[in-house]
Amino acid sequence: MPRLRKRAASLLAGAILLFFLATNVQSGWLYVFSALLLGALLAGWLMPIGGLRGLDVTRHAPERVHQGDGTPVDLVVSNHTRGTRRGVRVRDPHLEVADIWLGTIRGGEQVTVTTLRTPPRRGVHAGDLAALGSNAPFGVAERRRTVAVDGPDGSRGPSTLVLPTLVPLGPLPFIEPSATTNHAIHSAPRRGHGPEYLGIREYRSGDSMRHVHWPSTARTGSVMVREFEQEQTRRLAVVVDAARDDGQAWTPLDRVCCAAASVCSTVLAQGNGALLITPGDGHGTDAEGLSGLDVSYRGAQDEILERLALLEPGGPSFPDVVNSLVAGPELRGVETAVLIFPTWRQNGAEALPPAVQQLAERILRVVAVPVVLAREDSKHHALEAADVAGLEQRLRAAGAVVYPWMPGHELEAALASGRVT
Amino acid sequence: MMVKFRIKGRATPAEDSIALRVVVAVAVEVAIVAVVSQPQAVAPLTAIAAVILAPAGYLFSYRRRSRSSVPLKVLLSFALLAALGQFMGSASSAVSVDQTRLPLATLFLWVQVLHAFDVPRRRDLAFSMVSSLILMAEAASLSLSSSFLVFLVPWMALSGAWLSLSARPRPDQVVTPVAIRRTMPGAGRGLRAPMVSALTSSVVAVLAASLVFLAMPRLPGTFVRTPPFSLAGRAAQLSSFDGGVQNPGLADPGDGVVDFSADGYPGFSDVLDLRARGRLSDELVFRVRAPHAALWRAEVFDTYDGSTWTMGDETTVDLRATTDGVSMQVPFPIVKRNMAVPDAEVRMTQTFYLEEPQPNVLFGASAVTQVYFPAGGLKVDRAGSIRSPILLDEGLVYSVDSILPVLDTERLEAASGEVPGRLAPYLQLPEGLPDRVGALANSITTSAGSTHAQVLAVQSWLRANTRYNLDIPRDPEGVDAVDHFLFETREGFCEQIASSMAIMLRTLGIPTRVVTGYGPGERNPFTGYFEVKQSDAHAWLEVWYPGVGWVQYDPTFGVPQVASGFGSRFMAGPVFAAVGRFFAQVVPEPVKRAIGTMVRTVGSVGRLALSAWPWVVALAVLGATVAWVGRRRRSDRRHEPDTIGEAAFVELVQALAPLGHVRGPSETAAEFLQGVEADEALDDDVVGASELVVRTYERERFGSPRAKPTEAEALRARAAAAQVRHLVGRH
Repeated sequence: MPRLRKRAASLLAGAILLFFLATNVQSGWLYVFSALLLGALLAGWLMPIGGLRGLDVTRHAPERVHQGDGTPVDLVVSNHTRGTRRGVRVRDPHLEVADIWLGTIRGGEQVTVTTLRTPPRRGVHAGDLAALGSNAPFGVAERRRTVAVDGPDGSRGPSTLVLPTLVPLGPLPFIEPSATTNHAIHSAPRRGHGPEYLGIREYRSGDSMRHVHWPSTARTGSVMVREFEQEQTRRLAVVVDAARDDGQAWTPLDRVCCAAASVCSTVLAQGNGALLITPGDGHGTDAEGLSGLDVSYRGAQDEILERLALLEPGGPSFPDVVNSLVAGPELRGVETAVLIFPTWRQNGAEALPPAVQQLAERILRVVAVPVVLAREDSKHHALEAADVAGLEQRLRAAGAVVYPWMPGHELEAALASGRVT
Repeated sequence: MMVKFRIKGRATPAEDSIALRVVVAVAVEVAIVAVVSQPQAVAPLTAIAAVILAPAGYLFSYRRRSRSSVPLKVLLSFALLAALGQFMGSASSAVSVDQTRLPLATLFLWVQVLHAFDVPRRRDLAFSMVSSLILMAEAASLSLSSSFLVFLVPWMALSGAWLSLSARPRPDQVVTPVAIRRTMPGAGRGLRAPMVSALTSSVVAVLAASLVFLAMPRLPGTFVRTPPFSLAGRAAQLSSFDGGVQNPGLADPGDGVVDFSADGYPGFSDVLDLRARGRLSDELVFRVRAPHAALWRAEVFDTYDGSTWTMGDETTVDLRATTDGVSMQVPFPIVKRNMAVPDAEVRMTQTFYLEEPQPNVLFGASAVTQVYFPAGGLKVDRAGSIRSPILLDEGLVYSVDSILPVLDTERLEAASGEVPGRLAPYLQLPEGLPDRVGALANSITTSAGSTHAQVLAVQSWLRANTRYNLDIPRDPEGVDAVDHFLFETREGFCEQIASSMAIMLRTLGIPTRVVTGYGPGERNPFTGYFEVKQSDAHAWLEVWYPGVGWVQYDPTFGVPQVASGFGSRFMAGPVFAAVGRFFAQVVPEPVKRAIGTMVRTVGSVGRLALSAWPWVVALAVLGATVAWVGRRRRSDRRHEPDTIGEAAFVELVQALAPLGHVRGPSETAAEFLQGVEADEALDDDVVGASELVVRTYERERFGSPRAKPTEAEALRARAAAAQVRHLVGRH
């Protein structure tokens, strides 16, 4: 049954009052008014019952978008009946909850609405449901129905993967110019012995027989070998803190992922290799609950973004992560470790700097990017401003270069303002 | 010191819809016109000002809707205070509720007009509509006739439009689309569909309202006893008034008999002549506001001379002014002498609104105890008939309080005893009354064992053997009117029928008297008023029972019951009667016969169904069960989740099924989760996400209202389920 709204209570109260007056002053017209209000209430309650029958919804949305980007989404609502459907409203939670007023949809009519949505969350946004509502004709009661949404090709439940926000960064101060910078400028990958498969070419002197591609050789009559992209030197590791999160949109973890994605993307664009370390991922997780993803080749940017898009809060605390990195093999060959973490209390001056100090003793450079939390991010779990200043000081004392990302500031500006103590 | 006013930012934006504003402005204008159209509701100057200023206010408010103006609000507040002050001043000098009516209506109008100048938001427009409803209700309470429909119908249409337009979300409540495209195969986008929809809504709403109206009970409320009119400026008592009846509507007697004229009933005079003939018009005489129907009693006659009735004792006494200063009281001995000692009594206030001039006799149901009348010097005769020193002119309004006895049939049946000597006039018979009248009465009542049985036997005989007919010729000279009616014509006016019963009962030794007045009239289903026409003028009789008193009988049409049944509480009866009368007039005879046949057939089927009601009920229950089960099965087959949380759970189950976690038919969500958690082959992320989905689903399905997940939490569960599908797909 349609759900009654406040207006129904108003009509009922008015009808009772008028009935009371009519009874006491014996005015027949007041009975008429009372009956009219109750009639409107009854009609307004019963008429929406079939108000959504025969409606279906189709959605056209991109498969991948970045968090915070305005994304056009087409919603097609079709009326397959001969009757007119009035007061139709759609509540589509895909990417961003959008209430859309469609009004009257006549029999056989199809309404296509394009809205611009800004996804507030990373991750997979399942798009197979939408809620239809109608409170026609009098707004007394609302009929709601959750409908399955089809994709443009008729498939059920089209979903969109929301990737972290990618901020274009200039040259990062903590990355030295790479020997492969020239390649980074050009789009063509460097041929070498990396794991990425580039194509097939004729055999040259010195090529390993292990790379001979026998089907092509048989087809062409000359010896063909597989060609690989050059494996770049892994000299930078990005370690993110995903231990906790708070809020619904543009959360601390979202900002961490944004920073990590932007740094990795920039590093790759500069021709360097990078290692993204995300705790609690579950894919190749080691005993400490860490997982390392070797991203030392350019084609892995999509994989990085996907990894960060799906990153959920959980896993060990960030100081524990750093401590395990000190003891573990993950940072072998890494020159610079970029630690990106929100200023949670558990990352305070007592916990994180000692671990960073040990890390700084093991590798060449430790870069700390504390994502400074505003008070509205979390009242109980975020460090106070004074404690953040103390943390920065202790981190610098521990040998780290600190690039604090203050609330409301641009990431690019934050990463350009680091100081080495 | 300079004081700065600062208005807090509005929570809701200004209303930009011109359609909504126009609808509200016109609805308010209709309400204002409805009020000012009622007679003496507001002063003419105020009426003109309100009619002009209200639309101007709405136009002004629309133009300034986005600007908040403190000076304007202050100005309007002062104007409102001034209107309130004027009302308080007028109300303080009022001596009756009625006298506050005009200033109150004026205050309402000014509130409406002033408010019209500051209606920036939708909520303010809603207040305007509520205000217009109050104005309409006030106008309705003052309206006496169905002509109020002229205002009601457009106001209803505008209210429906307002409900519809304001049901749309405000622009700030919905997303503004970048583009919207409508495609309609084979047709343009005309106005037909919206108009059909609006018409459908209107018809359904009016039908629903009609059903409610018919089913709405008329309860006995705490009736406002103060009359709804002003008694100020009472007319002066006529010096020559002696308590006699004056009826200017009667024609001059040509042959010594005063006949009926179109506007004059000869029964309202000193003599009720049974030789009088003629017809009364169907013109409206007065409206009566009363909780239920009654015979509106005017005069009583006790002396019959063979052709006319007169009042033996014409002495009258003055009504006494009461302590409230606005009403007059009928002396209690007279009230007591003229009413039955009841088992229970119903007190009824009636207000008469005169539409045509009437004689100086006040009408009222049964025994009138108190009178609110705009003239002093009222007199009452021994039979309780009240005379006014002024003629009842068109437009005059008066109220009477009456006591209506509710009598138990058993008590009437048991009533017996000697007739006191003071009632001898009510046993008077004319000297020349033929014996066969008494013989007939005796033969009719042979088997009657009590006074009550005798009365009922005579009444039944009259109803069975005589016919009401207004086209009979005048009686021959020298005949007794009752004898001639009973033995020669058996057709006649209500006067002949009532007189015959009175005289026959007198021959049996039962005291009776003949009463003239008006029948109840027809109740207007909308106004609730009884509308009484000239042709409703009527004669009936009162019968005296030992130990009980005077009881009314109407052998022509019957007396409306005071304590009527449950059905009389509803307006359905009068409405169906009115509809029936309408169709009886306009529908051709063959169609009426066909409808009658159809109704009888339906009635027969209904009676058959009632006689076999257990089977009917069983079949209905069986049908409902089958329909419910079918609907349930269809719903199960569709298996479409109703909520986001349920959709998340369904997706989780579907995602994990390929890994061997197939949910059993009777497996609960928690049991399903236990199976997932026990599977060591699954990643921790899959297990963690599964737990989130299941817990959210459980809270949504079984949690208390406070524990229900928010939309954001449900969406998070939905995302977790999607992630599980994603992760499982990678495996």
